[in-house]
Amino acid sequence: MTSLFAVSDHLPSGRVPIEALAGELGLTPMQVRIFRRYHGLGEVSRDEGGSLLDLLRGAVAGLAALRGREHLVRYVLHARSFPTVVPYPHDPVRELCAELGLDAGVPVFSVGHHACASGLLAIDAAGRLLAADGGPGALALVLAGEKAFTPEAAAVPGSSFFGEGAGACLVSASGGRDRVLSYAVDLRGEFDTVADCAESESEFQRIYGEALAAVVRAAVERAGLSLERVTAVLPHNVNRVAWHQVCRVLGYPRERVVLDHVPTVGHVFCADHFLNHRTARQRGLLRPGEPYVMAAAGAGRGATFAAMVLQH
Amino acid sequence: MSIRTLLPPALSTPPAAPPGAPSSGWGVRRAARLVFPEPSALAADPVHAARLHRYLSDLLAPYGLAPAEPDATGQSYGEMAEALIGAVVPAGEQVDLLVLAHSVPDLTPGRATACRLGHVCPGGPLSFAVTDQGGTAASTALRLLAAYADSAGLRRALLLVVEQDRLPYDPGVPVALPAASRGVALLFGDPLPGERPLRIDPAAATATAAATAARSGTDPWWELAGLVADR
Repeated sequence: MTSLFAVSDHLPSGRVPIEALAGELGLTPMQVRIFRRYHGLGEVSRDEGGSLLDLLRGAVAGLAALRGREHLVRYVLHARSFPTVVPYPHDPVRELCAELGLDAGVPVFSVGHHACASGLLAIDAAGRLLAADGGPGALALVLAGEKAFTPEAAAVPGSSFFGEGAGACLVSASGGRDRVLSYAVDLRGEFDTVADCAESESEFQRIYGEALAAVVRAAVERAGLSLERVTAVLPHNVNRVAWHQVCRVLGYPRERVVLDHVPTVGHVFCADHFLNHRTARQRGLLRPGEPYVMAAAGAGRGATFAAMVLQH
Repeated sequence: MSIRTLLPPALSTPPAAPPGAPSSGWGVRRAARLVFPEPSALAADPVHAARLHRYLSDLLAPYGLAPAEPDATGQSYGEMAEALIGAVVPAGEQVDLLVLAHSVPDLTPGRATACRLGHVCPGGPLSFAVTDQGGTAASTALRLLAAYADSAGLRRALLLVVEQDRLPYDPGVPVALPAASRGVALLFGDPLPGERPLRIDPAAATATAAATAARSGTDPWWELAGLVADR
């Protein structure tokens, strides 16, 4: 059964107020005020002058469980919000693997096209690869996090601002601290637009809360559980109001949704779940044997809603 | 709305036989391969061109690089894949899983193309992309496809391998681009009456692909599609 053997994250020290991004993103002062007061967004993390490799290196540095287990790593997956994040054929993930001393023959690749829900896909995919290979002890290294290098990768229109940071986890097929119980995904390719389309964005915002709530409910039911038993939801850090809406639809207490980093960090691409995992542990929201949910909506010329139930 | 829910795989020791093993009839039922000699119509769209130029400028700047002058060339993997889906999925059939693989970036570098393909492909499959592994991305995609077929019951599965022959910038390091923009579609599944799917061992395919990694990402799959067509 797929499980998370260890989880870590990295946030650079730089912070930028969302007002400072308004000009670059073409936002009016009123729009920025709405983001701050209504959506609960305030600052975003930035690693000025740093690279994607720096971010990922930072996340892996916190993965103490990897030390001495490098030889057990069979796959390295980078979960991508944006399909193209470095010039081809540059490959910072492979550079990182070389630094870590991983076997040069280990497959290193990206999985994605689920936008910011790609992190959950990467965990599920890693577990299936390991299980198909068989044999206990093997691990996959899942990485997440990107640079907000262009306006398209700096904000989610009408919803959020991206923060720079990274997360990493070791996935096992044979046990660990956090076992995957189920995974639900709803791909909404009808929201794909190769050009900007206000109508599509408006419709996406309209169905957002219901669709995200639906995948959470579906994942919990597939795990054979009731929502009351879920001790915490680790969200994507899109904004507070979207998750409050999801809580209303689900009838789930909003104080158990880990929204702590929304105002101070922003939406850290696919790495939000790793960051929020640490925070949930620190807040005592993850208890041994109890289930929790990681969930995300990915929007970016195509929409994906996904949820995963895990048992701590 | 179509939510797919999956349970995690069970670990087998020793490994379970892959779906392509002789005990199962699962394999490549149909294949298609297409060349795309003409640039995508999207490449000539000025709105798209401006958006792409900004994206590429910001992508390349940290590397001290800059995009080439726009020349209305390049391929949309969405368009290529839609043509392949039309060529390989028989009328009335449905697909559970779609995996898109490529190495050279798309004309639309920010687009969740696989998500879109999940919408247009019959059956509304779970779809995702495997990239950034050079010429061996497709072999990893095949391993994933087999793993999902085996452990998640998504046995009607479509592997799409696409590559374009153009990179709109000088990357500043040696790069091998395909001689032509091509795409391959392999439709996997259990045999229907009268069918004899071509069985493929994902591990063996990975070894073959690794041995030919320096070639274009579509080459081994192009040849495989020819084999299927000749059967």
